[in-house]
Amino acid sequence: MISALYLHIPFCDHICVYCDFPKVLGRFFDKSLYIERLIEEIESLKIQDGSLKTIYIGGGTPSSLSEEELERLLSYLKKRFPNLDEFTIEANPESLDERKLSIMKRNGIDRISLGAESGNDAILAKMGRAHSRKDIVLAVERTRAQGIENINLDFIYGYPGESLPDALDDVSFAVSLKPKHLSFYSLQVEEGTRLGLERTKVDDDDLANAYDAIVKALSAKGYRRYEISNFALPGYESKHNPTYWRNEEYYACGVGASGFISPVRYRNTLSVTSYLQGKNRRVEETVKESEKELEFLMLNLRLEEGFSLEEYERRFRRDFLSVHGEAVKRLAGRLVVKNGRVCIHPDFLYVMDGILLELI
Amino acid sequence: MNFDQKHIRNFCVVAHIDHGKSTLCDRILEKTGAVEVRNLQPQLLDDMNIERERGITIKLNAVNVTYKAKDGETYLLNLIDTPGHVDFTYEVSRSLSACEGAILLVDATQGVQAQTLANGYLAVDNGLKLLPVVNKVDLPSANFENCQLELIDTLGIDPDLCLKVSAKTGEGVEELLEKIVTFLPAPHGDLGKPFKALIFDSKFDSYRGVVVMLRVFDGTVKIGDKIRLMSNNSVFQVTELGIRTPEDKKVDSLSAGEVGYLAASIKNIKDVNVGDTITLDSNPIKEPLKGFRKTTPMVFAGLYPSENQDFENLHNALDKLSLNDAALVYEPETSIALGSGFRCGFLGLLHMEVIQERLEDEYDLDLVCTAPSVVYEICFTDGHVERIQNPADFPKDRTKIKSTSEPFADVKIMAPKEFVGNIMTLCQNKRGEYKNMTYIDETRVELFYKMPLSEIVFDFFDRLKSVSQGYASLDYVPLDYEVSDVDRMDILLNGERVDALTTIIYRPFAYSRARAVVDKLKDVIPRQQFEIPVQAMIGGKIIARSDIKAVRKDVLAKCYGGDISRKKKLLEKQKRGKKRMKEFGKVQVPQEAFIAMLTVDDAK
Repeated sequence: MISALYLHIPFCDHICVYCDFPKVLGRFFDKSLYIERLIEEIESLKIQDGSLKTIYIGGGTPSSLSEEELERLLSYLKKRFPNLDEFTIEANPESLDERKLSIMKRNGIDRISLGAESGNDAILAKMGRAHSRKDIVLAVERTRAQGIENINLDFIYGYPGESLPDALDDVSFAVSLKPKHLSFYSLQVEEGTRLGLERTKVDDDDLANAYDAIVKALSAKGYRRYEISNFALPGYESKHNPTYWRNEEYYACGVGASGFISPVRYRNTLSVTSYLQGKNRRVEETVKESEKELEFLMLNLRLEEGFSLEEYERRFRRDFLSVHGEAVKRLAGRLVVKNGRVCIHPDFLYVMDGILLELI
Repeated sequence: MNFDQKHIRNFCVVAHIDHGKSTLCDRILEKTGAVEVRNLQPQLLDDMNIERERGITIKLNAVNVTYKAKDGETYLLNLIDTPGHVDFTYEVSRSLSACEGAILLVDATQGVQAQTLANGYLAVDNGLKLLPVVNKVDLPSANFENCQLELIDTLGIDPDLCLKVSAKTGEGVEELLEKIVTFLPAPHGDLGKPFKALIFDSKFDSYRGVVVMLRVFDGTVKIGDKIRLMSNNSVFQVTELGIRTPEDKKVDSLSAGEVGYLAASIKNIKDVNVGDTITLDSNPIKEPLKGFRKTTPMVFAGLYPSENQDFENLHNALDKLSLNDAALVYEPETSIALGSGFRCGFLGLLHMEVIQERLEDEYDLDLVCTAPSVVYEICFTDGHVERIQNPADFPKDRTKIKSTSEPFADVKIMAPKEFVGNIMTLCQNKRGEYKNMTYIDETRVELFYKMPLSEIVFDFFDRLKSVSQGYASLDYVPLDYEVSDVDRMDILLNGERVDALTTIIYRPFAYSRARAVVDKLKDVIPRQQFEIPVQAMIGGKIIARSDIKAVRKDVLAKCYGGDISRKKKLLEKQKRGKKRMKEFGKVQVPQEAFIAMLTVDDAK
């Protein structure tokens, strides 16, 4: 039974220099029509009542929707899926006002993921963000005032010009806001972004140094790393996102959204115009039998807890240790098999691709 | 149709790389009706994929076409295509000596370049008449007058002779054909003298045996005649004669002045040497044609299959390739690091790369190629002498060695005089011994050096090109062995000796060389999960070390719904990349490492 649904809102008020998600400048499009199309797509999935456990509305910038558009989407979702375990929406600090927050709260949103990205105003400006450090503080306060306690803050480290003390300052700043959950992503320079065009270089050694310092500082404040870039106070790990890492199925709706209905991975059209016309040409890829194990391992091993031998055997009808015994021996110290589970040793998570390549 | 010598023109086209030689040849075939336009795939004479891909002609080739000239007579034009790299200078000079004339092709947008001159001089040396043709005149940046001036300055060519051609559009090609007839000399062999012909190429055909491309100078050869190859006195009976139009067309005889092919049930291509003279067994000539040189491999390297089970496939592939390539030699060898493979001999580095690419493309093999090396001679204290083809066989115990020697060569470099300083520095760094320098004209000089062959065969040609902005040309003639202070240098990865990385080095340069090699290996070998020391060792002593740092990050920071397919593809690509690497102990070494360590710049 598929229990997760991702909804993509591709609209932004401005485009950030690093962003490679499907996105468009919202002012050129009929956003309310988009919401109707999105609801049509969700309806077309014929999701069984009560089966869905989590919804995640991401973007783009979901908080750039107007109050009416937000109300329309969220009230529909609340009515259609009344018994969710987690209902998250992403927001930008500058566009998350009290009225939108109250619409969210009223319609069942219980988790806000705030795109903080940096606590340094100079770096925020370089990133093309429209908010300041102060805006982040205010957005967190407003969210709490509405009674939404489960807050995540996204940060990016490794931006050119950011020093190690800068990165650690972001950690202190983040912790001072007392969120339940934090994500720290290294800057990824992707093709098709401004940074990609400018051929911005990021040094892996610098990233590794920053990462080590961030993990250590967060751990000291009680934030446990449960995935390579994700940290939470005990009990506040995301419920939606581990769907991806556990290689489970999920629905996805909206422009450029990617879903997985085994054995097919699909991605919706990247064209907002087509989507608004009701034409959604999907790109589909059937995961081959031979790729299934690679997917399972590359995703599950991102989690600090890894996967259970039992789960592996259930999926692949063979014993992990018999198949990979030799590699496991060779990888001793880096790959840990303990208490019926397999995981990457915490010190080696940042170099897990090499370990994975040795394993497969 | 039979042609008397007055109606035959034998010519080739010489040009700098990319000046449009193959396109012009295509156009000539098309205009003379040898090939219908619809059958014309670009660069028809370049048989091999590699030739088309790299835009260079490696094997030479010949076609016979007919042309009806304005005088109403029909002429037989024999076009011989020549290879264009210093590895094949000898082959070029042989094919030139099969012709009376040469089209000297110059790109109108680039003017006279190094190879234009090198090949132009080679043609003049061989007594050929030059017909200058300026190509690509249809391009906006074409500068015809400038090309004319450069041709006067460098080769003393009459500017009125220069033809304007666009091989692409066909402009001027008619005029060119007419000029070939009116300007280039006809052959003037003697039909009454005993048969004398030059072999300028050969290839293997599974039905006919070795097919020999030949140019007849005197006399006639007929089917059934017994021929003698003068370099080794082997005798064969002619079973087939023909010309290429470009399809093979059988004829009953080939006479003075003609170019064609010959088959005589010759089983082994090694019997047929390019440059050799053919005569009749019953009525042989006394003196063979001048300039014959047995092609001997200059560079040796180990070729190993990445997967051990491919050894037999590699063996078969080498057998097949060598049927058509007399210069390729090979014998099985084993390496501790690489398993079973072959020690192969090549004419030079380009030849080696071409063979390696052909094995990979045409026979679908994944190969590891070790650092190329020349053959060293070791004189032991007990008096016996050994020749070492594989550096890993060089004795580790120096006390048993009395002396070592290596092959030398006479080197001739031609270049504009402003590059003399750069070239001299380069030659000095390559252990060149200065012999002489002469001025060809006001702007150009010829430099003469004696140099170890090992220094020439690796990247000397590329370096020479780069220090002379591409203008210098190079020719060398191998000399004998001379005593030279060399020793083996071993490379240790993570503390373990990798025999496939052992090289022979000149001892006085040992320290700078070792430093350059370990630094280069550090750059070429990708960072791995742990730190790896790279050490160079001579005579049991570590003389240089560089560390490959451990990888610190390889994971994607974000991996959500949309990232999964992309991430999976990335990992699969890395997995394939890893398969192409060779594992030593726990260290992954990419194939490039074996070659890269040779192209280090010690002068830095």
